[in-house]
Amino acid sequence: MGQNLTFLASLSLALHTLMAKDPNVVVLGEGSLEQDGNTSRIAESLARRFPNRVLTMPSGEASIVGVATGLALSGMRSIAEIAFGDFVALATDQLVNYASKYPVMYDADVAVPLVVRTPVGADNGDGPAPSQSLEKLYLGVPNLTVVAPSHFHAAGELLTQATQSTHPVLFLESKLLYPLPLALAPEIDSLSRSEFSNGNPFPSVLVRNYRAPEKADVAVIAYGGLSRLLQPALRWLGERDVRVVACLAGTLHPLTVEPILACAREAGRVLVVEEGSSAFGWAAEVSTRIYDTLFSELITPVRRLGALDSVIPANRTLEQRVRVSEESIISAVLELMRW
Amino acid sequence: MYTSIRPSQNLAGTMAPSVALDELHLFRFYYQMYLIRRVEETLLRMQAQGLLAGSVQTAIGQEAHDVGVINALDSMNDIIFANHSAHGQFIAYTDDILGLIAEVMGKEIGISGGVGGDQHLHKFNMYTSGMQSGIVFNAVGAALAAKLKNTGAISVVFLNDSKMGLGTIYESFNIASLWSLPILFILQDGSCSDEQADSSEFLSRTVEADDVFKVYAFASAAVAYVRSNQSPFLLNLPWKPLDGSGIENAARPADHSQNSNYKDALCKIAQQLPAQARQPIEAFVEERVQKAVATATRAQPQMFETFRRKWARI
Repeated sequence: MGQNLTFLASLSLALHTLMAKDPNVVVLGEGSLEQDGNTSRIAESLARRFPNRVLTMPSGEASIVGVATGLALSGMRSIAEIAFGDFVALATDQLVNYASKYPVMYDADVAVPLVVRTPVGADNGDGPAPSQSLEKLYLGVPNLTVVAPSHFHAAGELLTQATQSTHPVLFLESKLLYPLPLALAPEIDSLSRSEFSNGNPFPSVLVRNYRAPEKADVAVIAYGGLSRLLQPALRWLGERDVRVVACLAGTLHPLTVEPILACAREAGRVLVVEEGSSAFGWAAEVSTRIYDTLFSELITPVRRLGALDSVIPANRTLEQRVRVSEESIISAVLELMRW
Repeated sequence: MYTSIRPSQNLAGTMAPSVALDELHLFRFYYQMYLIRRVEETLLRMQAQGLLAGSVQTAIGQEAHDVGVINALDSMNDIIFANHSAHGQFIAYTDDILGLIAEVMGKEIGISGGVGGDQHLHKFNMYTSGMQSGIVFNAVGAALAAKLKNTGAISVVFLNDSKMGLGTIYESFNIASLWSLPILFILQDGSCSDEQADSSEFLSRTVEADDVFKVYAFASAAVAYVRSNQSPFLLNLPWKPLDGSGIENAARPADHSQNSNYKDALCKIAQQLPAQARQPIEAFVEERVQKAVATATRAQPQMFETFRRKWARI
């Protein structure tokens, strides 16, 4: 199911289904529904169908997330839409000091079913402001789940699961994935896809460019919009007999380590990739988790790859160099092979 | 778009006489105010003796607000958000002094399981947070939920003068006004400054907090206005802290009841009661507070394993 849906259509369908099924679901967005420039354009069609439960707010991210938190405390399932991931910074107080604390600090007596959706990622020349991947700012906040689906994920299903959580979920949508069709079939060209769920509502997805009983040479651990770069990179590497398994995490935090460790153990060479800048980032945490368990089984040190520690330049050539690219992933994999 | 607030003269003129007050109110209010005062004084004393963890944020002198406003609400349905010093609202709303004292002592039977502490209390429809101002948005969300679900409830949020410089407050005023939400903003202004959050668009009223019946009358009218008109209202309640606040508290003598050199609403209501009516109330309160302290003292401290089990469940 959903084989032909785009990433965006899958999210849109999920929201329509959710709102039709559950009268307690409310969507709060920034006040641009009537304009054509709305980021995801999902809310427009929702607003037409559910005018009383899709509310445009004055453009204030803290108020959107704060009001959505109050709705969630009062028994609604609220979905807050922030026009760009960069602007979530304005709602950080609400996420860190209110929404994520309520479910714990009152003797675990309160639920906050809140999802904050926001588009992230760079590859469109938008420059320093609306291009950032700021996920590392929100990782490790106790009780705040961070989900970043790839196009190998059933994105709409993950969004549906996020709305069922008893505590807040920050749902990061790569804007570059929006137009891509979801890749959910077991065989995608020369790649094979499988899910590692183990009861987790946000499964990790494994994508391989080889067939069992062959084993991977390199494991690539990544998430979200990086899948768009990994698909051609894995194909290119496969054609050159470099066997790669990509593990696309369902949640960035809390981390589901089992599939990551399984891939790392199989390959012995590991590349961890993140969209944001590397310093003090997700890849550092994942690498440490791998070392904690597999130190003696690794063939090479774990290699990290992320954006350069810089603002995102508007100039497309510079932007290409600063962010993670298909080429930088391939050369990092090849470097591990030369070790 | 920008909302401002305008003082209400017509409401002010008509609301006070419309509330019928009787002996029961008098007893009830005195009981609640005296209970709040004695619990806070007891907490200060316990803190000075090193029996509590962390700071205790008291608001001695504010009892008339808490009792006047809370009693004006529909306690079954209305939703209350309060700030870091919410003992008074909590006691007036829940009467659960054991839950409060045990909480401040970090005990398992504390109302927030010893996790929330002095400033993070929740029971029924009341939520408090040590982080102020941001909670106002949550209160707006609760008002929106009440409106969407047509429950007839209103949302009430207690603001503190120290955070009135923050944009979140005014953004909340804007949204509440824009969407005609049933929310009552209570500004407890302990700065005794002449500056007030007033101007036009939605209604406000300033009431001196030296008389619990006056506060109750105005709060009742404000609550009725918010509920029936589905509109926000700001009740501005200036007051004079009798104990300073926060960390300074501990250094000050706890017993204020002998000092008569201030406008204390508790003294005022006490004077309206004959001694033979007052004494049994006071004795009952003293006994309750003593018993609660004794029970809380005997209670198990919250265990880490319990906390972790609950935390992991989430």
